[in-house]
Amino acid sequence: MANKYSWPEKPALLGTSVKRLDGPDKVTGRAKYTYDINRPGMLYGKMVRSPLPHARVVSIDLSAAEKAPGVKAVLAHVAVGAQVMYQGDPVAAVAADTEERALDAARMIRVRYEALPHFANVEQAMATDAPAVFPGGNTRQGATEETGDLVAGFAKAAHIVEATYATHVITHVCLETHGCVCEWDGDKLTAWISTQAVIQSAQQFAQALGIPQANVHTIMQYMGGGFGSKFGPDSQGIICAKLAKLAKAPVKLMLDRKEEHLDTGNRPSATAHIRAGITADGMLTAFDGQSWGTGGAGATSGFPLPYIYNFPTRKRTHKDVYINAGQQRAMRAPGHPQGCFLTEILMDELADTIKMDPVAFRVKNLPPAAPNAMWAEYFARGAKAFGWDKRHATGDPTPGPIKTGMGVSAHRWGGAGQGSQAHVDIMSDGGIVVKCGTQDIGTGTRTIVGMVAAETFGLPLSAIKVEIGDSLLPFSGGSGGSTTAASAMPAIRVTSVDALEALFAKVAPALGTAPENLVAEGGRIFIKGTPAKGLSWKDACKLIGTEPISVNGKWAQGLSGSGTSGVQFAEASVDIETGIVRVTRILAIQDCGLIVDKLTAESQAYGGVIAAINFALFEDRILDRVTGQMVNPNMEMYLLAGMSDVPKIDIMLNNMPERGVIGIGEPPTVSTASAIANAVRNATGATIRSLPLHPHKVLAALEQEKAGGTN
Amino acid sequence: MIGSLSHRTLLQPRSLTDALKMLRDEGPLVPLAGCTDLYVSLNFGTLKGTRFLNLWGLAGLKDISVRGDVLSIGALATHTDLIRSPLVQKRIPMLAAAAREVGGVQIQNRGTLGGNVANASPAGDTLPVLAAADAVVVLRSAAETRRVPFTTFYTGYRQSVRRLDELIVGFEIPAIHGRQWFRKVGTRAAQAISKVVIAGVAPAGRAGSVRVALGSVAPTVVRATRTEAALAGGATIGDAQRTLLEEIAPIDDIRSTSEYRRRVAANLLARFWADAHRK
Repeated sequence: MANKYSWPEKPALLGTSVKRLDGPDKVTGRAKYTYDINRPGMLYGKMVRSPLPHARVVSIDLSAAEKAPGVKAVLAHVAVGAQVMYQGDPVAAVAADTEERALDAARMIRVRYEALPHFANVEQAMATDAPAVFPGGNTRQGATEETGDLVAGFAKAAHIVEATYATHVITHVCLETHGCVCEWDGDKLTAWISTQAVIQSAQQFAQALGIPQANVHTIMQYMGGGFGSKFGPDSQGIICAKLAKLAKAPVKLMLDRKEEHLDTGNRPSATAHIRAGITADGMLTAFDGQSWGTGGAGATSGFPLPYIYNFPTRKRTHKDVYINAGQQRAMRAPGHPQGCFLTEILMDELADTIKMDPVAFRVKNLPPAAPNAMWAEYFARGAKAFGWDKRHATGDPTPGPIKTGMGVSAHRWGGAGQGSQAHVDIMSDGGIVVKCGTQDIGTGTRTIVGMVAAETFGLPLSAIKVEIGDSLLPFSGGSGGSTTAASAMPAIRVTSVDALEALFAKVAPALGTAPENLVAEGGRIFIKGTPAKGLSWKDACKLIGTEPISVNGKWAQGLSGSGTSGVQFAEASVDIETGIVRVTRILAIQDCGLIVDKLTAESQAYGGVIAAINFALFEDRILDRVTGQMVNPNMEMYLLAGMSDVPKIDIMLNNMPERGVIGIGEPPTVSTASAIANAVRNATGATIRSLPLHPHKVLAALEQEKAGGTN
Repeated sequence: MIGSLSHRTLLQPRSLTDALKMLRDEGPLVPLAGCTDLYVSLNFGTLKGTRFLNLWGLAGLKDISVRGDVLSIGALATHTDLIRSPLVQKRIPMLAAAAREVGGVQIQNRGTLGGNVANASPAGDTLPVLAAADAVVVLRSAAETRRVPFTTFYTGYRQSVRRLDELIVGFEIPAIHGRQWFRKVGTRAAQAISKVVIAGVAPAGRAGSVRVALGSVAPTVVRATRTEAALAGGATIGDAQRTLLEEIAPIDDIRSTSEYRRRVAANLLARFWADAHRK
């Protein structure tokens, strides 16, 4: 139901492509990231971490480090006798006056370990004779989910596909590593911290350090990526604060790339043994899946399965398997890329059993269409735009070593928001400050906060000063689950509308009318229908007087929505002599409710697709199966796509203003890898049921296919 | 943990003579130029040397010229220099192709041909080209200059005949007759260390001989001489592939598997031979 807060029907700014407010600051280096923060007298912190995947700490000798040149603080993070559960588990730390001296001193900390049995992969942890490594068991069996009569479901099937599908572990690889700068003033702490949750970080600092939250001030103005791995100070933040307290000086502690790979989260692996049935006319009948995965040392590994499609009877069990590796953290649409891949590869295999077109087959087995379930429409639109009619049947008949194919996949996500507050000041000189304790984690939040205010006041974006990324600002939640836009934008809208009403109350008498007759548009405030009877924004604000208009507001129902759907098409070429896969085209169709900034929304989709190409073709956390140590904790052996690996990407956003604002940060990264894998299968006829699609795996699958098939 | 820069010394010669004297009198020294490999070792904490000799300023070692029928390339010619050199493009295009595959633009600007050879990685992109080109390595010490065929330069994994008092000052490449072919196989399109790298020369008409050299398939870059002989003798490509697989001994490592390298080496041999005989 429309009310005064409702989004404008004919917006001037919303839904247009607006460049980031902070783009020029970022490209010229004026933007200060946590890494760029330098305080007078600042020291540098360095952590010492376990080199072993599982061990008991026998002794920690800090004495040599304490005497090293430039060292101002040294601490042990764990007690002697404690166990370290993964390579990279924090053990001790040091702060010194230069980075090099901190490094030198860290090398002088002598820790003796007693090595204990460890698991480097799920096979070792699941072995029947595996030693007890984790308290409470090396695995945790989840509850069985069951719907319908599975036996009857399989009885109806004309064909059954049975196979094992898997995705691998990747790390977040934030370009700006985790870390912070901590500075104490008595018992008050200021922390500049690379975080997705500025206010929640203050809360966590306070809890861990035993000080009131009111004594903690956290700041994050610019950030080089989080992807779900930066929701608090973590061990390095708390250690940084403790070092600063001990040294009585500010300390900067930023992790290096190896630490980043080992101890700041990852996407859990997922494996499922699946049996699924299909009728002769292409209706799904049954799904039976036993899945497992590892989120590292004692962490969960859940994911949705089956994904999206309507299996009338289904059964699923899941087991978390613990191995001695850094714990998983939420990673861009947690669980969905895994569940999507496991289901979508199966879907193409099922379609092939009855030689049915994969798009038609999917459309036939979708849940009912709804505003948050628009797949059928997107499949149709996408197939047309992508040239799906030119797709050949499985196996490119073209001669020569390069085979090309197309694949498709679908995804869903939530993206709802709530519980955000905001503050708006309008000064008598016409200036506007909008404050909200949300944060811009690289997604463009700063820009869309300004856009919503500017839209409401009928002003250009440049008229708005946006203040975010500071724990002293009005409450807003962490940026996870694609909730930021749907949380903060309603609060900004409500508060801006209320501030404008307060201004109208001041202006109305001068214009000889009632406040409710006024509108703000095009930089003027005037009587609705008669633009001549009004004042410029600046002149209107002169009527405010000495006390500025100062309004608090909060999130309200009706301005945001929940639930997104998307479909992606991929075209890939495979060199069957080398097994190298190149993605040549991606089409991503995505809805996100009301589009605030078309440009940053599209950027989210581009970024999501590129991240998923990395997941599909390049990234892979490799642990040595004997030593349990990561063999590629760097960016030389842990590969990401370069610019020449990024294909032509077309984004089709479906603007649905009637649904309100919905987050888009995560969904575009869900289905790309599955679409690519299906394209590789279409190109070559070889089914690769696990990621990543590394050349040696592709070539081996091709050899197997030549030798009589992969089934 | 990242290596420490403390307690490391850098010597700065003003001339080649100066550098050779320092090597003789103040060794052992690790020569460095573009530092593109050295910094990787430093960051991985595996850099062993403590005393270094900076060659970067010795501009005389950058020359690329032709004397008689021999192309001379100074050891300090960067990959960018190779890519841009009309002489390299004309006489040994497979070297320009290999240089283009090295790292990214910044690495190409810093990394040198001499450094690529001195680093002695079996995965070095330019090494199979030098092997297939029958290049000669020019080594100089304060006492003498000696010329070593590239194919006998390496003695084992990351080992060569270069003595500690010698510098690689350049390469001499005789005229190459026939069609040149180069291919690097890496996971991504750029900035990836090779899984397999192969350079070949196929005779054109009566001129030239068959040459096949491979990187990343043995402890050093290798010339597949038996495979060459098989192809020259008119063997089927299948037989030549079987011979090649007897000649190479790739390993499993972080970048790939032995199995993969064997398959790809055999596939690329066939590709090279097919391309060479395409009209």
